[in-house]
Amino acid sequence: MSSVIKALGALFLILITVLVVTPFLWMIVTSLQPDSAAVLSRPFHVPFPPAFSNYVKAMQVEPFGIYAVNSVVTAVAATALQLVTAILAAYAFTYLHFPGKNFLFLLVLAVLMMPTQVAIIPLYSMISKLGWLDTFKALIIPFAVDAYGVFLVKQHFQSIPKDYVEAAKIEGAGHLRIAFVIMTNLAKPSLIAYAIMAFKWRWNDYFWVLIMTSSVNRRTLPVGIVMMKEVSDGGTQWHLLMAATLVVLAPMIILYLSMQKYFTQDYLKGGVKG
Amino acid sequence: MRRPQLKKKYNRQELITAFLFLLPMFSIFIVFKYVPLLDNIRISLTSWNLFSPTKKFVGLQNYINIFTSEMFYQVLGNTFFYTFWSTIISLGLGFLMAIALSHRKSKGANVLRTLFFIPNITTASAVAILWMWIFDPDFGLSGQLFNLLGWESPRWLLTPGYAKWIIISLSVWRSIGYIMLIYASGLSSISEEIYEAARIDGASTVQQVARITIPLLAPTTYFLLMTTFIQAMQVFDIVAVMTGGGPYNSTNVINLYIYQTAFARFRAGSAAALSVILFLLLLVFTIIQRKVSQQRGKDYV
Repeated sequence: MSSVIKALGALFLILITVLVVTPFLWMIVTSLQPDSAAVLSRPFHVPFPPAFSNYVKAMQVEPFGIYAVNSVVTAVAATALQLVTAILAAYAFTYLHFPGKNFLFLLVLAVLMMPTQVAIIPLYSMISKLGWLDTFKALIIPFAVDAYGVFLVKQHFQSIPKDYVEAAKIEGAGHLRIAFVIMTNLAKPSLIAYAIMAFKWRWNDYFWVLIMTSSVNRRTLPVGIVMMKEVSDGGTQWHLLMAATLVVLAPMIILYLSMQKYFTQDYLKGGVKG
Repeated sequence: MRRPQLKKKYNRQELITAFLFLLPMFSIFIVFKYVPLLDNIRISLTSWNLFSPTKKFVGLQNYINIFTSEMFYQVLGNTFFYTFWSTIISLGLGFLMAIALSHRKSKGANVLRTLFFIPNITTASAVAILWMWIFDPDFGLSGQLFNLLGWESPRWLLTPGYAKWIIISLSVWRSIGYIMLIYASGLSSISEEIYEAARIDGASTVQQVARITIPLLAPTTYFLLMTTFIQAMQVFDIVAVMTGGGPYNSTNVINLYIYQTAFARFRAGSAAALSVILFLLLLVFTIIQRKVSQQRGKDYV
């Protein structure tokens, strides 16, 4: 590679680094300012001592704690259910013989073309009729299964030699045991990768929660943080709001940094999900 | 789900197991996917305020109203503007990032790979608030920088010409890491020998990229183009939070328009008709993608 090109490449990477990092730095610097006045008067100055107490204050602002608990509860519950339903369905499609298998699998693939948004009006009306508006049920049950997850898990099950299943059958293991102990162990890395993707999808969701919840008691962080901004409009306490934003972003970033290989693994299979 | 007449080759117990294993998934799909999608078409043919027990059948009136309203074309135009530019810019930058990092094996390069992907996992609504703070014309990063230079910062999110680009910038910021990752895996599958041969023939770096890398990565580009495009068509969070579709609807997009029509103006019939139109648009793009992917023999989803 010629040196000019190499230098241009390095320059480009520096530029991208600045573009990627600046928003984070700006958020962190603001979040460490002692008060609103400092935010406005000395914005680029990293305060000494930094006001780490802002993070505690932000979390204590009512009802941030409730939002956080709701986020964890709904994301964990939906992820766990998605794993169970995906393993069951993927096992059936991979190892069991039944009529209409291909057609039924096509019905699963068809769901990939039906994002929630395209049927939000009947969904709202149904959730309302079920009496589920503003309940955890509305935030968890519709997401207890994900077609993309079924597809992914099935792909991984297919890559595992059938001999394992045959051997387990001979030893007298039932289908449930084979699916949840043997297959799950063999496909562990891909299941973790899928679980992370499912968790990220539920953790970051804004649209569904915005429509299906109406009280602070059921809102999750992505909706809650916007509400915190809106109620404060006019006199936004940017140092606290940025501290809260950081707290919202931190769990996913920590999860990513600690389990990076699982994040990138699934993406390479060629899936996208907002 | 089971046919009443069982053929000999199926084992009865296995059939029951399959039924029970597929039951949780299909019950949820039926209730929350198939039925709502069909119900949506029915609602789109009615006049309904979202709450009243009766819906008045109006035939295709909602569709006629939509296709004769200027607002619809404006929103559709905005959606395609956003989709087009955020897709093109993300793909361009992501490709260049993958190329620039491709032959670097140092620790620093690995740190950059990790770093560039972080925006992709951030909560869209939360970073939208961060973006509002960055582009706050008085005290935000933009306001302060313009201040230092002695200029007055434009009112970014209140100016139609700027607001759409601010939104696109956030979309690009969040997606370039993902695009880079997919391109990087595509690059790693190109054999080094091809470049070797090109170098012996005297091809420059730029020529190698133009004649070898770009053509060989065409399937990856195609896959990214279609998936990013389909994804971007459905943008909601960042627009809803940053501008709410304003100023003067200059940033309003289909999904937000559907939301406003149903939940702010309570015209559920119209909103359902808009949803049908969005669904059909997405369907067309998805079918095109599948067709071409199959022809290329790629096992992409």
